[in-house]
Amino acid sequence: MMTPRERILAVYNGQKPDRVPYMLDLSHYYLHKFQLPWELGSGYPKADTGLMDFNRKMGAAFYCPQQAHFWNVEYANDVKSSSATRVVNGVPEIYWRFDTPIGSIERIRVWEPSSYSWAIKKWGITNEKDLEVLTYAMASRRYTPIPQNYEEWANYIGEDGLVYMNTAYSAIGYLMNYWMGVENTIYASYDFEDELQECVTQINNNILEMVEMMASEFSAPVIIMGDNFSSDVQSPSFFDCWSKDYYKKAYDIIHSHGKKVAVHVDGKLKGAIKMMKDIGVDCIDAVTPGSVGGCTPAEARAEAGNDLILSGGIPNELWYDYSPMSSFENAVKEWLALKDISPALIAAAGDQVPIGALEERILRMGELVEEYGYY
Amino acid sequence: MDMKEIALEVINGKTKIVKALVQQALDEGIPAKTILEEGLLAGMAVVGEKFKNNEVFVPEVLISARAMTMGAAMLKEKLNESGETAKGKACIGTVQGDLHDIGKNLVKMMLESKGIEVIDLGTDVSPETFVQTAKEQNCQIICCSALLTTTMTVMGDVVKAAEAAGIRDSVKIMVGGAPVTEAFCKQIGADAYTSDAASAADLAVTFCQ
Repeated sequence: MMTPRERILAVYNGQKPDRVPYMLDLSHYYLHKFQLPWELGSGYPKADTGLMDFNRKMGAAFYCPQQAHFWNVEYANDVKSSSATRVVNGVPEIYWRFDTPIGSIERIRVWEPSSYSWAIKKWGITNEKDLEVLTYAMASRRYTPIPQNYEEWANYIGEDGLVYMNTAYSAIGYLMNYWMGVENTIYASYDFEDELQECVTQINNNILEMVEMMASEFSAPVIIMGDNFSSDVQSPSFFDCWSKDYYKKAYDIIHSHGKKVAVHVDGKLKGAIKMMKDIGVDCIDAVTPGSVGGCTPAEARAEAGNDLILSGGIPNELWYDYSPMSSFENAVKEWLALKDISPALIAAAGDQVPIGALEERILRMGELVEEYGYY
Repeated sequence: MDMKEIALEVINGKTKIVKALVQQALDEGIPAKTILEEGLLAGMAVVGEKFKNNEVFVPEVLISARAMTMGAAMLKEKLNESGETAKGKACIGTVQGDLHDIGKNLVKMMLESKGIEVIDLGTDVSPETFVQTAKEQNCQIICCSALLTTTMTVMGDVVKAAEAAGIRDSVKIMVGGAPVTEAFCKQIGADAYTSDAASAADLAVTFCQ
């Protein structure tokens, strides 16, 4: 019988494992379950052995080292980057700030207990001038790898998982998710296209340096990228204009070092799968069929073809008691049935097990994979 | 002046040109209602259909909606003077505990493109605020948006709050957002779930009739 790590590697190497691999991102669920702090600002300098042990307990392979600290970041001397947690009117918030010779920008997230997450309170960029500040700051970033930190995670989980490495967002991802929001980024692409293009080019070039570092300095077999893709937001034409070139270059860099690349598509799948397939990605991560993804598992497979790995399968709402257990079980079985079409398949959550999910369903998924997942 | 010119520029998302054409139309004495319906809303209707059919996506919808909204703002005074009333009234918000707004904003734009007046309650909206607004503003529809599975359960509280306030029979409750499903909508007793903003607007029009 293969180990979880062997199964995942087999799939990435284009081989058929003995059984569909089963892995879960339990990071958010775990933090909430045990009421642990989510250190979004500072990250986690040490390997989270508690999380990895929890994956073992739940019977799901580990792959997602959220907020792990694998490299140091420095900026040019005239750029001050600061971030700290503070309490404002009794509510914790985190700020990220750049101070540069040409101006300053600051974004803020606030703690939202009901979702156990840090919600956007204030975007940091509202005009072209702010964009220039971000460009100035981000273009000067330099990275120092800490490969031993990755090895600490990988050694601890051993054969019970395959530790991915997460890249940063692309430039558009940074803007949409961190600094401007989706709407303002889209408006900017029309209103001050040249300034946005300059920003995107500079940031993407810088992040490609990070990708090269990750691919060359770390032993991680799989590097995961992604801007929380949704094809209705980064539509094919938008992607072609703003992100495609960056992603193609990043995939080529990763492949040139003999590694594999996954991309996180946790929104609408139609069109997004093809977009990524056409430029050479190995795996679509966080596939969420149903209302979020806008397609069935079979439709996702049809768009992907038989060689592109699909990882995911179970939407968030099915982990809760307001969805019948039968619906959950049927969704798992429907996903596992894709193995009859292609072994380029990993059973996971789309995109992570949500907080408050029923633990029995996590365990049940493992049972169903064991029952229906063998080739 | 042919109102199709305005409609075309709304489809193209050309805000500055739309504003210039709207002003030109006003200067030519064309009634504001005509400019609104045959120019701005007609253009947005095309965009809405294309959005439903996956021919255009969120970026194109946002840009077009912005052009339409800016053009419509220029007509507001004239429309008020001529006593034009909206086709209906809705209040919309992202539910309590959730700060995501793009879905809510898209629905709002599409509702407005159908001539429905929309009271935007923003994000992190309590059930009581939804209901109180609907009651005080005589809204025919309450629209609830959520992007998280952990917050969408609040939609059920909105339904209960409407029942407790005695307005459940006089208001339609529509729900939407990435994790929301038809089954969930039925489970909490809401009136309608739609999977996209354009469909939400089409349905809202029927609710206002």
